[in-house]
This record gives sequence, structure tokens and C-alpha cells, in this order.
Amino acid sequence: MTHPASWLHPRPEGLFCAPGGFFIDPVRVVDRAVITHAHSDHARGGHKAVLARAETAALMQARLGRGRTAYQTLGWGEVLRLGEVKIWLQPAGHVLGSAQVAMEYRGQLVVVSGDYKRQPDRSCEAFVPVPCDVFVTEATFGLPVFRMPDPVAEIARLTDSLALFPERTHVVGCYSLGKTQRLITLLRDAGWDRPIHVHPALMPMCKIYADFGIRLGDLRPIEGDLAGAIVLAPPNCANDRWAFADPVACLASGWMLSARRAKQSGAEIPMAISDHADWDGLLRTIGETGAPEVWVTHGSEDALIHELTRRGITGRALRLVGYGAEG
Amino acid sequence: MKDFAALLDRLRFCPTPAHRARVLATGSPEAQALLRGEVKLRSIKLAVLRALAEARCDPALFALSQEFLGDFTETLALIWPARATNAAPPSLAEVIEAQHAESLLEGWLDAAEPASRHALLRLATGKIRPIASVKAPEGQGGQVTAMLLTAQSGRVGLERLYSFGVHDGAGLVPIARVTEVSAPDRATLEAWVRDHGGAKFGPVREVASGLVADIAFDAVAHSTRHKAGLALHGARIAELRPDLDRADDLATFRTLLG
Ligand SMILES: [Zn+2]
Repeated sequence: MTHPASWLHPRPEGLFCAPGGFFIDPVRVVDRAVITHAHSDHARGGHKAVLARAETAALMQARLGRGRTAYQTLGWGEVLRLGEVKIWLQPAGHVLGSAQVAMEYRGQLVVVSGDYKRQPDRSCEAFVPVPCDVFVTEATFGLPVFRMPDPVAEIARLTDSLALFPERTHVVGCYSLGKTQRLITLLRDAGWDRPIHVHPALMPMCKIYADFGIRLGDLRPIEGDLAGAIVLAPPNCANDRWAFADPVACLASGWMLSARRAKQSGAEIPMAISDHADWDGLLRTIGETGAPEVWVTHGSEDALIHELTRRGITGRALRLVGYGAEG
Repeated sequence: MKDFAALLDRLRFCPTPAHRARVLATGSPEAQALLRGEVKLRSIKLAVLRALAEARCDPALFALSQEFLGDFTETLALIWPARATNAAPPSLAEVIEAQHAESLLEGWLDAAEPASRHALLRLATGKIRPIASVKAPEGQGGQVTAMLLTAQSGRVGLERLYSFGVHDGAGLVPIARVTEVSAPDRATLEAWVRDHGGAKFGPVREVASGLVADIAFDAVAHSTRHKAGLALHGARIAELRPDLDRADDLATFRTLLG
């Protein structure tokens, strides 16, 4: 038995698996990268070789161009040998194609979860817990005040407002990968079958979701009569140049749980909808992996490690830099 | 309580009094009465809430959370480790009826979900201000959202007099004069006067518009002596509103006077 701390290290480039010769989600250009998901802070361009899910590879290529990177894709649970390490991917439930990386070396199993969530989301595969010796987790919402409300109830706040103000354009700020498509599926499931108007910056990712069989319904450019319409746009350009009718600014982010953040956002309807595990989700997941040791990559690690210590689990802060908190 | 919490959330960032009035009309009769200031609730002492926090929450986690959120009441509402209970969450009518009996609060917090807990604790600590610009019949108190117009040096020592106005067509007309201001509000007002001060007429300095405040008042009366056609008595700052860049309209305010 070789303790994972001796073969999996944080380096300036990212988390490095020495006996496998690869980095996980490196923030600098490397020879061999395993990518958990296609968000820009985890999937940078320019690596020589990338191992990822097919969805992630497609999303990366749409965002970064094909470049010279050699992509290799893996099915769920398909085991590959890299150097002396056995590696496979399991769904993380964060965005389309998001994966946990499981690694086995000399009888020890480590799972790097990337970003993940436990709420239902039909725009990506649901998280699958993998029993392991060391679980490597994010802690974006690693404070006990972060308990995400039911996303169906949050979407109802938007549709209720549309019923009350049928003449106003409801402009929802959301990130292009993941949040946008989740909002669309939530709206469709809530019975919103009218066209949804989508900012051009969000369209390419939607197209890839549709290619992978996620039904998003009728998506249109931002044009025509927008009274009473839903428009999705990146958060920073929710209000430029378009002639919206008395717009209702909405913002979908887990950070909207904080009254102060909600106020700062300037949104009339702040919706607490997140792609990340909340406090209960983090603890439930750690419990399900049965891992006696947990490494925290980024986020509010102090509170999470404090709670893990109370529960007799060893917590360690990796303090990896370069990962955002898109919420 | 859930409906009331949702109503508060929806009203919180509503841009104009007309929008707020439409949202308010969707509330239950109790909610509307409460938000119009027609129903008063006894406040619970902060010490009681602090004792609940100490009894039920891990102090280190509470401190880290409060540091992040910057608000004790919000932290308590969101962190609350609810015990399983068969009790239904309280309705707003029940809460009003019970006048926040301290002995009931803990059970209510256990039964409610986070958004309702936050609404409940805001009620308990008196943080729900009648909302701006809802019906304020003549002779009764209420609130109006207004824009800082001028600052005037007082004759006596450090006393300052601030005037606030509401929109009337393309311009702003004065509607309230405020003298007693809390120290933090005063610092914000003075910073605005310093950075956005304009022409000075004797002791009165005009300021560029942009600083908005909710002005609470004890009574409003029709008046021919004032340009706005009405006078507010006992005007004071309820809350500065850096989140707004527009005040109420005089016409809307007038119709709300009934
Ligand atoms: Zn991510």
C-alpha cells in the first residue's frame, strides 16, 4: 500500500499523478491532461494530449478550436491503464460530460470529483458515488448556510413573474455552459413551451447539448416581439443593446442565496440555482464515498474541514489556484 | 409563510412603486396589511436569537458563515440545523396572532424551510419596513422612495438639513426635509454631497441626483404651500437605497394617498 499523498501531488500546473504521468484539469499547458469537464477554468487549451468524455471533448473543441491537441475519449467506467495507474471516469452531475476521475495505484483508490452536484438535472448524467480511500472534492459552497432550494421552486419564481408582468421581457443572466441548458430544461419541464430567446454567445454550447440528445425545444435569436419573452444572456451583457420591453433582470447563480450578493447583482429576480454541490450535498457525498480522508481543492475549505474533523474524517486543504467560483 | 417569503423576495428588488403595487396585490390580506404598516408585530430581542444560535449551532461554523454573509439574522436563518418535526410551518396569520411569542420561535424555525426562516427572523427583528409607496391614507404614516436634492448647513452647531424629492415630469420636486440622521447614513450623505455637490445658494448646496432613500413619515397632508401639493410630517430616513437610481413619481404617490 502506498499512501496517495506520495503519488498524487498539487503542482503549479495542477494536480499531478506521478505514476500515471498526467495532470488533472491543469491550469497551465502540459503534455498529458485528464479533463473533468469543459468549463474554462478546468479545460484550458494547448495541451498535447487530452483524455476526457466525448461530450467534454466536443465542448472543448467548440470553445477552443481543434488546435493540435490529441483527444482520447472514455466511456463511463471504461478502465484505461496510464503508466502504472488504472484510471476510469464516472459521472459528476455538474454539466454535460462532467466526470469524476477514479485512479487506482498499488491498492489505493483516489477519486477526483472535479466540480459536481447532487440535485437532479436532466441536462447531464447524474453523479455516481465511488467508494474510495481518498476523495478529492471542491468546496465552492462549503459553508453550512449554503443549502440550495429546489430548482423547480426557483424556476416558478420566474414563471410567476411572467404571469404577473406579461408585458415585460424577462432577461436571465447565466453562464454559457451548463447553467443555460439546465435553465432551459427546467423551464421546459415547468411547461414553458414557447420559444426561448438565446444570446449568440450561448448558442454554440446549446447546439452541442442538442447533438448529444438533450432536448432543449425551440431556441431563437434575440429578435422579434420580446414582450413577455424569456431571454437568456451571459450575466455581463444581460442588458446591452437589445430593445427589451421594461426588462426584468434575473440572475441564476448559487451565490444568490446570499442577500448581499443578490443585492450587488442588481437582479430583480435573483435565483439560487447552482451547478455545484451545496453543504448538504458535499457532506452526503463524502459520506457515501466512505473515504476516511478528503482533500479539498478550492472554495470554503476551512468550514468543510472543520466539519469533517468533527465526523472523524481527515481533511486536507490542497489550495489549488486558478479555479473560479462561477456558482 | 412560504408565500410571504416569496412575496418579500419579489418585492425586494422591484424597480418602481407601480411594479411594487402590482406585486403586493398578489399577497394575502395579512401580508398586504403587514407590508402597508397597518399591522404591527412585537420585536424579539437580539439576545434571544443569539441564545438560540449558541444552543443549536456550531460556533466555528456560525462565525465563518456570518463572516461570509455579513448578517447575523440571515446566517441564523440559513444555517439553522432543523430538527425533524411533524409540526407544519407557521402561517403568517399565526405569527401575527401569536405576536412572536418567544417560546414558539424555536419550533417555528424547525418547521420552516430556509427562505421562510429568513422571513420569520426578519419579522422577529423588525427588519421588514412597511414597503415604500404603498397606500398611505391622509393623516397616517407610510414611506416614500425619494432622491437627495440639497444639503443645508444648520444654524446651530453641526445640525444638517437634507431635502429629498420625487419625480414630477422631467424634474424633481421637494417632498421631505430630514434633520435627524444616523451616523452611518450621515457619512454616506456627506460623502455624496462632497463628491456630487453643485451650486450653493447661501447655506443650501444642491447635489447631483442619484442618491435614493426610503423616507418614512408619520403623517401626510395636502398642502397648497408646498410645490408638491402635499407635506410630510416627521420625515426620516428609513433606509438608504444604493440599489435604486430612481425615486417614486409624484403622481403615483398622490394616487396612493387616496
Ligand atoms: Zn465547473
